[in-house]
Amino acid sequence: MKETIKLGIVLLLFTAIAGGVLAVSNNFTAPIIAERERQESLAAFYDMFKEADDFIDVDESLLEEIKANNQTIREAYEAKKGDETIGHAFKVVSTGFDGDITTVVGVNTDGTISGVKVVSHTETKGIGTRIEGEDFTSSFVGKATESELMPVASPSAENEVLLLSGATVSTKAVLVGVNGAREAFMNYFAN
Amino acid sequence: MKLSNILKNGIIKDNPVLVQLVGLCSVLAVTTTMVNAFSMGMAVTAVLIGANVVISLLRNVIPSKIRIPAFIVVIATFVTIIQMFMQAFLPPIYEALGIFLPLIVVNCIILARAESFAYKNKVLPSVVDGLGNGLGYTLAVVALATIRELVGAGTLFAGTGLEINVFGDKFQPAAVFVAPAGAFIVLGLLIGVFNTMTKKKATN
Repeated sequence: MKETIKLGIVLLLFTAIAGGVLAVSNNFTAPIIAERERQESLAAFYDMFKEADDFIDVDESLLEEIKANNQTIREAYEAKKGDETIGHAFKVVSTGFDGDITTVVGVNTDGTISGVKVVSHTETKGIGTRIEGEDFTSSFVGKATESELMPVASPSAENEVLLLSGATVSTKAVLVGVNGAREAFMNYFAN
Repeated sequence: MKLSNILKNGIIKDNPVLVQLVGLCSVLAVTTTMVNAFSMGMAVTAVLIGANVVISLLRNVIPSKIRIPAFIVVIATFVTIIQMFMQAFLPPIYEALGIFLPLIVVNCIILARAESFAYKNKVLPSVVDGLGNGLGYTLAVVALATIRELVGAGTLFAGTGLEINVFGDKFQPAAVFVAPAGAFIVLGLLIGVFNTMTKKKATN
């Protein structure tokens, strides 16, 4: 009995020290990680809204409400040119073939998609990685946000985007994210 | 045992990947590109050295009955710290290694070195042992990744500014080599070649 208690205390000490060390390193790295991720999304946003000169976070309580109704949304921003709002940018996360796919989506105030960029993913090299490519992401540009986007082999209609043959799962996963951003825009920001 | 022998054992005689065949899960998974493999090798080496040092220092404090949970706590702490720092300072590598970075915790190479070496030896030999095994692991995964990347994608150093398209644009890569099946095929061949080479040395 006595020995059990002693062993328990030794193990408790070990875990307590480990916890302390981890808390210190987390304290040090967490702000750097958050800042870097913010910079990454901002860089992608400026690519989509060439005219924008600033991006401001949407109201926090509104973001919470959007998140509660829409599981893909992580962040939402307003693109500003001077005082004028020229569009909205969203960061969405969806489940790919192998792990999460993070995508940023820009929507112009007139309801067309200004751009899509896959910022991080762990899809199969050479197959799913094609979702990063210009062929794929450019097929979203200019599409309307009114109805759900569908993947097809040769897109032409307002709601059709490119289906990468051989990478159907990855394509559809990105679409889940983009459609999430599209819905959020239609429900909360469209006039 | 001489330090140079400890180092040599880790790299050649008891190479963790090519001779002991431990920790193969991450070996098969991260060797799609040289850069990933090298980064994983460095992460494993850092954890090995760190865990070996702490466990060797505490070898008289850790009661033998609870040594395994104590080892795991030490190893998990090092892995988590490395994970946090990679995410902060080397994000592309952090993304590429994905789940295999936290899984270093259960990589049997590290627990095996803690149990069979660091728990019984002084600090300096334990550092050398960690370094030797880490380098052995790194060399094996980088060799594996070089072959897979070259044949499977036709590139070298993909993911860095130095990317080379070795065979030009006409080359049709054998995609099976970057797929999981290719990892098994290349690893099998590599083990065969390595053991033939080291065996010859022993008989001469």
